Amino acid sequence: MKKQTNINKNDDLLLKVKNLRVYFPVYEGILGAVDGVSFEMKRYKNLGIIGESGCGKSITALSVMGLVPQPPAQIMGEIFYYKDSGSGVALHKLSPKGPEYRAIRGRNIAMIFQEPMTCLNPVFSIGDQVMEAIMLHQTVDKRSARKRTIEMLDRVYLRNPESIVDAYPHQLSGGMRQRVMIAMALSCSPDLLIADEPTTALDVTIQVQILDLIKELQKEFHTTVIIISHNIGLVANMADEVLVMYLGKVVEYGMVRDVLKKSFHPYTRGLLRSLPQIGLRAKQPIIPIPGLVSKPLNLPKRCRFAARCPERMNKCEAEPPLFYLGRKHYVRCWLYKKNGERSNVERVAK
Amino acid sequence: MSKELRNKINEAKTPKGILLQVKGLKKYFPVKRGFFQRIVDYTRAVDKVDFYIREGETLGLVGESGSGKTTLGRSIIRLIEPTEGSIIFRSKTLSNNNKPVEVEITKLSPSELKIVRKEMAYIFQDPISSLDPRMRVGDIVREPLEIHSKKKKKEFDEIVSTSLETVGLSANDMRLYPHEFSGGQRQRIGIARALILNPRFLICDEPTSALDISIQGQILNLLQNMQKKFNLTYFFISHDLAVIQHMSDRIAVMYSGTIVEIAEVNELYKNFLHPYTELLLSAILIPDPDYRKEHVILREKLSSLYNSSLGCSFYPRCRYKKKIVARQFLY
Repeated sequence: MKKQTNINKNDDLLLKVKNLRVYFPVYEGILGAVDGVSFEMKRYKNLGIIGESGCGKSITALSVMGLVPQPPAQIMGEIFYYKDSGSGVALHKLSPKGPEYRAIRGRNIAMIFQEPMTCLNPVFSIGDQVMEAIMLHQTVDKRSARKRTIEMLDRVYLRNPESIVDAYPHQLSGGMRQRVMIAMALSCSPDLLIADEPTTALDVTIQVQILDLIKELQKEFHTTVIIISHNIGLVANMADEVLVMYLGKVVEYGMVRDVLKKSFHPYTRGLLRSLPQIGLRAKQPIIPIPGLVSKPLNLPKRCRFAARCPERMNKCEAEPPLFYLGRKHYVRCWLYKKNGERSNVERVAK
Repeated sequence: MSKELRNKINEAKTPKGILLQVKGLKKYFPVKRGFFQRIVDYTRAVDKVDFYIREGETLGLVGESGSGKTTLGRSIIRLIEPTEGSIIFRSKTLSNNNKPVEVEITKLSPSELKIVRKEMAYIFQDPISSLDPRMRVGDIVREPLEIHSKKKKKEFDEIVSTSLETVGLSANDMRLYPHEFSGGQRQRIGIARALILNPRFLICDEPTSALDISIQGQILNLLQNMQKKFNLTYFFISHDLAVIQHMSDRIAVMYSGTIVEIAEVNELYKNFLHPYTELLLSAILIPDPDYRKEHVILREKLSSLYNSSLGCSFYPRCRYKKKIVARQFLY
């Protein structure tokens, strides 16, 4: 039985996620961490995923990597990864621990994790850990793997790569460890690099360095990046397309300029208004989103943002579909009909 | 008021309108080695810091992690005992005849410090670990009253409930425990506790950095409203340049224990002078795809060895560095 199903050839397409749902059965009911997420990625078009904690950003990324443990999770939906040659692999049909997935994970799809402190093994040297990734996916001997490791450490602007190879994680600072993670992730020149909050634990100056480094290496290694962050500035700097998530659902999806400059969904607009910004709207009052992010537990079939939405209507009791507004811009809100016109539904008093 | 304390109070000499003046403040932590815990070196967490805060203004303090921001904030109210230097606070509670008086905080005994601390409060960074999980919210907020207030205990409940209501919680929340609240609400509890004694001076140590984006704005607005309502003076510590610009009247930039630049907000963002400020400002990410820029000056190689014992501490990272700077102290 052949598990890899070949799908139509498509040179441009890199990743296609269709109606991804990840549920965790918990004591109180079912926790819908990701609930019907679909998106498509073209080669060299970076995708940004924005959302607050608990909105399902990381789980979406981990599902693509096949790193969500099943059980407890129940994963449904389809994930297709398209290789260079254009042949597609249905990742959702592969066993997460099987050899096919393991050949792809780390080789074709790599990931940078949020916490550089906990993601490196403290008892192995930096060299051992980077070399492991290289030797697992490439047929090289130990000596050339070490040489390649030193090269990679130099590429991520670490001083004295020859001595860092033999250093242990605790001897490095947070920014240095994150660079090691990047070196490790890029050591096999993956097609797709998933960066899950790559700079959240780091200082602002280091954050920009890491961002520039990823951008620079992306060109060199022909990698496409999914950048996941709650920092809108970071995503604006990096992404070509943006996915805004709220409680497991995509609420807005489109080109970065459209989503951030002509946002349609009240949540996206609220996010942009709720933080002070430098330059553009300095010292202007911030208008925070009222209320709290609830848990995605046993959610009713209605708009998930309705409880906090300043533009709530009667219609919001029904769950809105993802309306297409043209120019690859989608929004999940009853305020809009298909072409970006406001629908004439009477509003509930604010 | 004890006799000793009365001797320590002076008539105000600092210019009018200055609430707090810090001069030459140092905090050195000893580095101990070996079996006998011999002191081999000192970590200069705060090193010769001078600044003042005017009444009713917000002084922002910005810097990277490890630059000594929190140590400085805590030294001011002596949660950490400073090694050297003076902190002069213009007190109102100590004044008998409405004349402004000032007191040298570093010279007070613990019991005297307690009296002065009524006018100061601290909002902590982490809203989870700064609230006792075994105390009810009402008790957490009431505790400062029990220590300081001379009012009757019966009145406490009412003060606590109005305080909770001013920060946007309800009086019914008094019976609940901290774990029943979200991060933003817990930060509100922290603010209610800080405000319960009607302080005049508040140190906010990264009050929003542990919170979600949509909640951060709520807390920042709350802090600004409280400032207007109660005429508070803030010392606002943050690593977020956008937040600090929004909140502050003046900003101090801290690097490796020293304040490298201090200026009015607009001045700092337009006409910054120190190379480190330039570095920090170039690191700002504007959430607008049309503002993408190359952060050229940040292309530095990282190494874990910073030679901090001699010369300008920013030397290894400075883009304008000259050889002479490495060998001379800057004053």
